[in-house]
Amino acid sequence: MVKVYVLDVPEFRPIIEGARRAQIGVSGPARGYYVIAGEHELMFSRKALGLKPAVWYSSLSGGLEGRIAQFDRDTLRIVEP
Amino acid sequence: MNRPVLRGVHHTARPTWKLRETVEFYRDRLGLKLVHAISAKGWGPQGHPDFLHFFFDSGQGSTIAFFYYIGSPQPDYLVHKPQWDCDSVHTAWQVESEAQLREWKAFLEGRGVKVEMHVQHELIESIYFRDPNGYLIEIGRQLREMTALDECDAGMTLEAAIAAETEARAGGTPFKSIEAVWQRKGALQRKAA
Repeated sequence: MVKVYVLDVPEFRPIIEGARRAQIGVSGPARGYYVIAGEHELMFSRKALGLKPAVWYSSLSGGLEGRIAQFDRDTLRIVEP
Repeated sequence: MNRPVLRGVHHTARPTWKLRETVEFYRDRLGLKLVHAISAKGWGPQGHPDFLHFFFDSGQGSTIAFFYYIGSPQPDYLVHKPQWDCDSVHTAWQVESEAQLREWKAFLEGRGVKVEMHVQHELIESIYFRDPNGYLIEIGRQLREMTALDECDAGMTLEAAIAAETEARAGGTPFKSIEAVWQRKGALQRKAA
């Protein structure tokens, strides 16, 4: 299981909305954070989320349970540790 | 004893070896009023040169100040390099709205000042330009108020980062990427849940 914690603030909300659109499991917010969870892997596209680069590169700042397999200007892929 | 109160920035100060260009830039191109200038015989530490220390008004009681050390050559370590590490020392001024930020961008460009970047950060939207010393100046507008949640999150981030630094200093896992912080923060989140 991999998890991304996302602070419940406006600038990170596109990550939550994008995950919901992609039918990825989102729970919360609880204690100020949403949790996006995937069985083995999570994948995000900056363009699909509509995030500016500065915020995109902070996408995991709420906390991570997993390992970054790819994190470039458009793709973020997280896998099991 | 309670912590005494602070009331914002009075001034920040940096050295210049370009007196005329600095005055012309801040006073004449940016239009910041030159509000105070100290001219003094060198005093204090031995070898301190005679100097000028002058201040430009940057609003709300704040000023940006410079030192000019007379007859003192610029040491290599104070030559500003326009790159991320040197640029971490910068001044950020605040405006109140998107319209004011756009006005500043147009004003600067109209006066021949190159706006190098326009960035939307988490909490601030900013434009960046340089003065004749190469020093980076930022003008930004706050996008939202900081909340108790931001404060709590900041505390957890720094707790995770300090733990990573401490472990690296003790000879454990080298601290080489932000991923280590995010993973430690993930562990803190799991523990708190």
